[in-house]
Amino acid sequence: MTPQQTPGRSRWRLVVAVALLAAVTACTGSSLGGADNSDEEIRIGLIVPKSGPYKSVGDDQVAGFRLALEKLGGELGGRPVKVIEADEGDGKATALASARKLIEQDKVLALVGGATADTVQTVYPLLKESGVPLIGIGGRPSTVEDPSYLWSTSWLSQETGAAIAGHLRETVGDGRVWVIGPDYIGGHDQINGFVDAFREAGGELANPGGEPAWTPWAPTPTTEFSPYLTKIKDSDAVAVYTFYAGTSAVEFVKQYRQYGVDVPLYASGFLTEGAPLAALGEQAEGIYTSLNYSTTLDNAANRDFVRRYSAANDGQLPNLFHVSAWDAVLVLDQAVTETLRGSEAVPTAGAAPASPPAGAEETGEVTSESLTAALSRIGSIDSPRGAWQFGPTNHTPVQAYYLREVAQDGQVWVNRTVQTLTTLGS
Amino acid sequence: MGLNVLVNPYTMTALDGVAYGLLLFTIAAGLTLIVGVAGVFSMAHGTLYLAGAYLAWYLADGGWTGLALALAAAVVVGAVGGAGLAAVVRPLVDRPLGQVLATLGIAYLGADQFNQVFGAEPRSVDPPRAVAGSVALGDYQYPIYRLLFIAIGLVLVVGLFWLVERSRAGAVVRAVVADPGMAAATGLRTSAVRVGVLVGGGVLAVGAGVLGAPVIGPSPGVDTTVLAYSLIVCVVGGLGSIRGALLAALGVGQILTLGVALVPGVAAFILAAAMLVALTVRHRAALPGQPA
Repeated sequence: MTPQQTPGRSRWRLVVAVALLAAVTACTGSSLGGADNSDEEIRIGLIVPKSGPYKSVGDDQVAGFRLALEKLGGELGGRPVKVIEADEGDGKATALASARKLIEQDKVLALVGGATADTVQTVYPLLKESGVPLIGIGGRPSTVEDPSYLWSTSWLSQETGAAIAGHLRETVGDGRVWVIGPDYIGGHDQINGFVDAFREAGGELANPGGEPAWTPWAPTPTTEFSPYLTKIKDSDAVAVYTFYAGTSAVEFVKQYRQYGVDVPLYASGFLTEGAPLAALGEQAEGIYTSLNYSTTLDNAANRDFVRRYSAANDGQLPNLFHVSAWDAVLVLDQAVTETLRGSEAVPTAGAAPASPPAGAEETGEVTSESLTAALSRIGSIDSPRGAWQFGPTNHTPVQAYYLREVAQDGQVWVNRTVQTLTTLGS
Repeated sequence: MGLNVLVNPYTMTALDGVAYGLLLFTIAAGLTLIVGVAGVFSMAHGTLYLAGAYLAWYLADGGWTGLALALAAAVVVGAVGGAGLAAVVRPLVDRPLGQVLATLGIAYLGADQFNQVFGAEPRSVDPPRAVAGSVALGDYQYPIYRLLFIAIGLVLVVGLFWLVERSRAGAVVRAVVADPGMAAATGLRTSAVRVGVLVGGGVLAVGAGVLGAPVIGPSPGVDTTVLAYSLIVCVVGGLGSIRGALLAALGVGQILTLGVALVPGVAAFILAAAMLVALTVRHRAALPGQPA
């Protein structure tokens, strides 16, 4: 089944598709094991937020995933693909129910998705239990005890800040930097990633007591930043470093301008990625951010990716969430190809009577187990963010981070690549 | 010299607290009347605010025309929304839990519709160009629109006080709060008063959304944020009391700004702590539910 062409009107078709699929699954039962049919569909479960606070991230992830699958003609490793979508909600009960349904009822070979670390954390025990791998495309816990079934095409939250710390230390010299961020686990990861690396490089914080300012996340995320901005204006800070996303990002930057804070603003790239940048436009001009992607990166994969996305979306530009989902398709494509290559090797392996068990293992059946095994063997991914490869420890991309500056490109505002900062990942 | 004494980080932050507090008052004044007078526990109040904020975003054209259009649309949307709420809770008189569930359902449906129509991205609303910039106050800068909002808020405060405490309509409303049975016995049509209050409260909430959009902009989740703050203001201020709502809103405004600046370490708990103190003190000293 080819991916939907028009995401906006696909809801009903999706519902119909899911219903049909459920019926088909019920009829075919466990016929999934038969591997001799090379036209057999590969079932992938796509689990992203379709409701709740992260819905816009989920929308982007689905768009990126569909776009890549479209490019591959709806096939992974030459096999037709059936994608079954499910809602991740806010990452707890909904995510678990969806994952369980995809694995047990739809019998998917692999899951793709997860906008938040919560989802990964919640779903992980189920992955181990069922042996179905998850290609994570969003936030994830910084450490996972045994990442056998977790392969992330995204990033580690600490990396974004750590990547820019050295550069900012050189830029400000002996000047001190004011650091401010939201008081929840993801915010702490992002901000502490910067603070630790910045201190290590000999930098000093301008905040009172030398500790970052944490803005309340409960009962509701802070959107009123004037008390903090007034303090920043009153301090001797020569630059500000921050991390916010979504509504908080929009309000922070707006108020940063309104209250006339005139020192340079540095941030984790999420401050100006996607929707916040579109909402802010000119007000975001000159903000420096660190991220593992920019639409202006000059490589063939990115040019192709941006062209395809813009053509399908009224000239709008993609963002990092599209890239991570796009890369998940490339990863699966390679993994399925790698698994099937095992199939071609069967005659040789089978010819050697000394090792029938090895031969049995490598029959080239595309199963969750063979797919998981193949994930550790795949090579470099030709991503729009630049080529990357899974790290052996955490299964996160070993990838370049870029310094970006918000600038105008024709009619639109973009995160222009200034330089490559460093390569991180494990 | 005098200006420099007046303009310091704390007075600047306190000024913000006033602007924020007046915005909260504009939103919550409607809710306190809806709960206190109409006896309707509306969980859809934040939804009405969000509708107004999206109106402001959709109709904004950088000039005064867009704002005027949005305000005109807000009156219509608020009136229809209020009347609709009145119709929904009509069979649920004296069943507060039923009202909570029904209006909560409306709030969820509303949130989903906003997502469908306006997308899930946060939107930034700029005020009309003439008041979009900032003015210098000593060494600091202050957004002009917030100063303007303080002025609008004060006008609204005076207007609402006049309406509730001095006008005939206000006298009827106060009579219904104080003793619904007696009000009905003297020939007042309490059900008509209830519908009127829901419509008025709806217009206030949607109008607050239009005017408040540059301060609390439209995005998913804003409806619950606004509802939470409004409920805090209503409960602390005493249900049905405009004066109480004003004091509570200004207090919450100061806590969210000055409080956070003075004691940053406990920023997350300070609102809850202040609520506890206010409720304890008010419980001992004042008469809850006293109108105006």
